[in-house]
Amino acid sequence: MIAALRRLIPGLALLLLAGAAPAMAHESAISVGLDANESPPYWSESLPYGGMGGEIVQAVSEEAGLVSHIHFKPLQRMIEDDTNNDLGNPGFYTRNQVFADIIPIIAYRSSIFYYAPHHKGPVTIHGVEGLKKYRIGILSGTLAERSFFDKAGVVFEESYSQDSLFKKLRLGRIDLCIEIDLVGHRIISRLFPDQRNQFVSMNLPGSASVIAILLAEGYPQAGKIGTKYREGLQRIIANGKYRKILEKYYGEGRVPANWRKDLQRFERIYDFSAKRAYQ
Amino acid sequence: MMPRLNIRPKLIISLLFIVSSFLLLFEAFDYIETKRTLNSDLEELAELKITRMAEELEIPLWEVDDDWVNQDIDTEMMDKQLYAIAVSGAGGLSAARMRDSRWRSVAVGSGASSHQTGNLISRQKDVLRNGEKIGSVQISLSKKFMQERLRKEFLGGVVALGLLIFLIISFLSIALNRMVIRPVLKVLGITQRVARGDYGHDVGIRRTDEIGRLADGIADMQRSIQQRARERDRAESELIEKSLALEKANAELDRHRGNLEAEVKQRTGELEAANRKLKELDQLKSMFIASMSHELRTPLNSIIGFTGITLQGLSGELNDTQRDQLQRVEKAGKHLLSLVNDVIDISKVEAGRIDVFPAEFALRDVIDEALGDIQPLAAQKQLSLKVDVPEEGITLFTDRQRLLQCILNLLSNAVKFTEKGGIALSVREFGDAIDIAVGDTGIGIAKADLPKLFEAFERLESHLRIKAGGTGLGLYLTRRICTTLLHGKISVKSAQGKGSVFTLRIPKRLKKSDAQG
Repeated sequence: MIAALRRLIPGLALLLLAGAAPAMAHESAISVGLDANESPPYWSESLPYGGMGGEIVQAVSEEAGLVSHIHFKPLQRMIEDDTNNDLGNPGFYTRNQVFADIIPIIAYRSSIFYYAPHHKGPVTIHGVEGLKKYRIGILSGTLAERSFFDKAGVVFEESYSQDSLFKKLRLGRIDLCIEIDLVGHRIISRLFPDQRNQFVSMNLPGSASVIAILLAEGYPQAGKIGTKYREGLQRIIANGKYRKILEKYYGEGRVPANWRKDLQRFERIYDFSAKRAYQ
Repeated sequence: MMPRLNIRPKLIISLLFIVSSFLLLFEAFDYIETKRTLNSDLEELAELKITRMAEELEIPLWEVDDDWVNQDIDTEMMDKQLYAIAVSGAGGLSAARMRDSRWRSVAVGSGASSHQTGNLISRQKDVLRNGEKIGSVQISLSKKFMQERLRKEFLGGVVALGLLIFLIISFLSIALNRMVIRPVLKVLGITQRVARGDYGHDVGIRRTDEIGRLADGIADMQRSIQQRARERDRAESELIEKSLALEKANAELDRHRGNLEAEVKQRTGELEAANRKLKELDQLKSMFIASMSHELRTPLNSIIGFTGITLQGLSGELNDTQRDQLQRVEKAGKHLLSLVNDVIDISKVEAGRIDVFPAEFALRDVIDEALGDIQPLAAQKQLSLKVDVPEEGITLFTDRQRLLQCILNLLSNAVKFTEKGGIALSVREFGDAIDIAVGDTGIGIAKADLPKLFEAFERLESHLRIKAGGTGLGLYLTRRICTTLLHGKISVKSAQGKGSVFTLRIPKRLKKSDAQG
């Protein structure tokens, strides 16, 4: 099942993207332009500091002595532009663009949500076969390999908005829905503040994914800027700013326990300096 | 109607009325039909929209996607004909739009009511998902644009109608002017010229229609008048010549008139003198006859009287011869006396010296009296005497004595000229007059003699008349009394050898003015 659900992850990893712009040549305060796509609560122009990702980027920049400017753009433009710096899941951008550095800043997981009053007891799923008896809602476009599930006889009902998934869940039109854990909880809190305890979520094993700062190849001082972002990230983790930001969005006491471990795993994956040294 | 207008405005107004009425009817029909069609189209559109929206909203309502629903509604509301849309679905989904006063689409609560109910076409439909109701949609289409379009089309129609009427009337006016008015005015001009005596202008209209025929008629009339004018001129010339000749003749006549008048005056004077002399002679004659008759009657009365005394034997016994001779004397005397009396009466009548004495009396009495006198004579000749008088009494107001005299004359004549058969007297009323007829079966009168029957001293030739004797004054006197004194008339019907019928017709009542004869 885990292997199967992993095929979902790239799609569910929503559109946490960013771009970059030429930086100023000032040593003490290098200015960096980054493109992001509207995908709350990680990136949103309507949220303070541009959402959770925006707050982390600003905190990292502050610690690193950088000035980061986040520009919100449509996802497709970000993908097609192969010269910009992006903020988001590297999986979306690395297919079309070569980056000088990728700095993971947030690790996240996807979860299966259900509305408890519609079920006789706690839902347990064992393998793909276990999904066949449920009507499962997912966000349209996030199912990367649909044919796999079709062959397995699992039927997904796609929705065009995340709110729809949870409203349908509430009305019993679907039995389960899959959403990024943080996104799902925030939607439930917003739509059904009085019933949020009725919604149950189960982390998808192996669904961890990452949001990173992606610096375009050829971007001036990309290597140096990358290093500074990494240093700044380590500092805010160390001084507790990072966790405070997570608690602000997850809620106090709701921050996933393995967030640090997951982030470190992605830091190792995208440690370009190590790759360069290896090469 | 429109008596003071010329033909052209009359015709144009009439045509305008007809064309306008027809086109207005057409426009009204078109307006009603367009309205019906637009309304039907709007109903159809409402049906299509509600069906399509119910289909379109299936997924958004299934997805409970407010934004999607709102986007769909906003998209639909881009159609200005849509006045309101309300969508409701499960999970408290509710979205509605309605037009404000500036016809902008504004979000409202789903329960918002429209104040344009009368101008809306509303439809409601359930939204189904796999046969299960998941929501509903309600739309209201406004008739506003339909009405605006209708108004525009109507105004356009009215303008087009006005233009069309103007064009038609203009065309008809021009055509009328060319085809009728102008030729008629031309003909009128010609008739006015003709009236002024100017015959030299040609009408100049060569057409075969009514106007052409009118022009031909006018031309014929023009020629005819011209011809008559020539004839009149010629007649006038002749008249003048004759007048001159007449004047000449009059002058000649005037010269002779003085002599003629003098001659006429002289002749008139002579005639008047002769007339006066004749009157004097006539009066002298009448006076002579009256005097003579009077002078004759006196000795006659003595002769008759003494003859009667002698015949009665008062002067001694008479032998038969003497008696016979004296009887002849007495008879001749009486006849002479009768003759003298008739002459006196005629003289008086002709001289106008006889008076009429009208009085009320019963006709029957007069007739009985006459019959009493005539009965012995009739009996002597063995003649029958029939009387036919109406049983109801007839009262007359006239001169009794003169009437009796007339009846006696007629009866006497009848007895005189009848040898066998009888006498019949009959009376008939005819309104204000009566007819007294005396008929006989006597010798009758020849047709040629009838005109002179009532003339004086006329005695018709016959052996019976000779035998009967008489002076020929009886019928003359009767006629004069009847016509002059009684204001009646006398007539006769007779057939020779068969008899005669004499009829007196007199008025029942004489007028007072007639009393003096």
